[in-house]
Amino acid sequence: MKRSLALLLLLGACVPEVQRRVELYPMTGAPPARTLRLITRDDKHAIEVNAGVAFAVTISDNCPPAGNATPTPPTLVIADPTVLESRGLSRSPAQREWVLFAKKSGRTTLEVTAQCTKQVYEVEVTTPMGAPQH
Amino acid sequence: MRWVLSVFLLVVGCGSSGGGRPNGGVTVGNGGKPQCGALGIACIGQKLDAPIALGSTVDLDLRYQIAGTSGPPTVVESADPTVLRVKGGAHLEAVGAGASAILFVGPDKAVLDFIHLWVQPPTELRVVRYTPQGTPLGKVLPSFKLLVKDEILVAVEPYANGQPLLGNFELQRKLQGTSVAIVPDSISGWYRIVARSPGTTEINFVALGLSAPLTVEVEP
Repeated sequence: MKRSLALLLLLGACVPEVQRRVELYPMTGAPPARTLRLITRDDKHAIEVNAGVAFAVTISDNCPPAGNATPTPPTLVIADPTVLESRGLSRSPAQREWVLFAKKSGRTTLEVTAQCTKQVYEVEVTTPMGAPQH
Repeated sequence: MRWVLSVFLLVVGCGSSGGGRPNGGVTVGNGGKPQCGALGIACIGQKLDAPIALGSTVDLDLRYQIAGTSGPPTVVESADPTVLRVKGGAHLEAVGAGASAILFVGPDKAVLDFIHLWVQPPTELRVVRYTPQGTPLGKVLPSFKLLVKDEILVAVEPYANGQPLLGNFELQRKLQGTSVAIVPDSISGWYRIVARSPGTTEINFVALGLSAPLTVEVEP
């Protein structure tokens, strides 16, 4: 009996804790000769995009259901909106689809906050190769 | 999850008062395949099938066909105003070489769709002859002959390395000689070169920092 109890406790301790995540997934790509990289790895969350490029993203998270409560939609906060700006998509009633557009060269951060977790993306907006510097 | 909405956003070009593709390349209802935005819910009736010439303008006339609603109020925004600047509603100015997204923004700043437009410096100003029905016949030779009372319909269009460019722009026309007259057509962007009397006339169309000289010899 004691052995069984100890085994159960040991198994319980081995069940991995669910890592809560919120991430962006691209819905559209860049036009020809322009760059858009949305990096979503354990060790790096980043967006590399050329100035002038707009792209749509959807926000996905694994937060537990809110039960009877109304789920809080995720939010996007961009540290420097003169570099990258975000707008909601009109067709997204769950407010999980956004359009991001790169306005000028520079670096900033984009923080995605879901009900149970948040994720910061490092953003780098660059001038495309061969393009004149404005 | 993608919503299938029957949303069609039509963008129709207004006519130019100077040079450029005649009537801004309006193609709504001509059977051409519509060009759609990146989200596939906004389709464009205007021929935006080429880069816009640097220094020129494009006027967008926004129209919607959305099931269950009329077209919502829309604001046009440019992602990179150093490439395309929006002035006065849907008037785009090509101010820098490159590409920029143009966003169609509805009420409460929600984006309906977006499209990327390119701006390129023109390398050639080309005089193109058209039939009265608007079919392009080809490039007008730098030197040609007409008979008195002949007339040809032409448009002056920018090109970059052989590729036609879009856009409206101010066009100057200079004449040396009186044997021909240049009459602006009722359709914006077209001009009639009319042979009036025997002689030789030098025509020079100037726009966007380029010129297109023509020598017209009129025979009796």
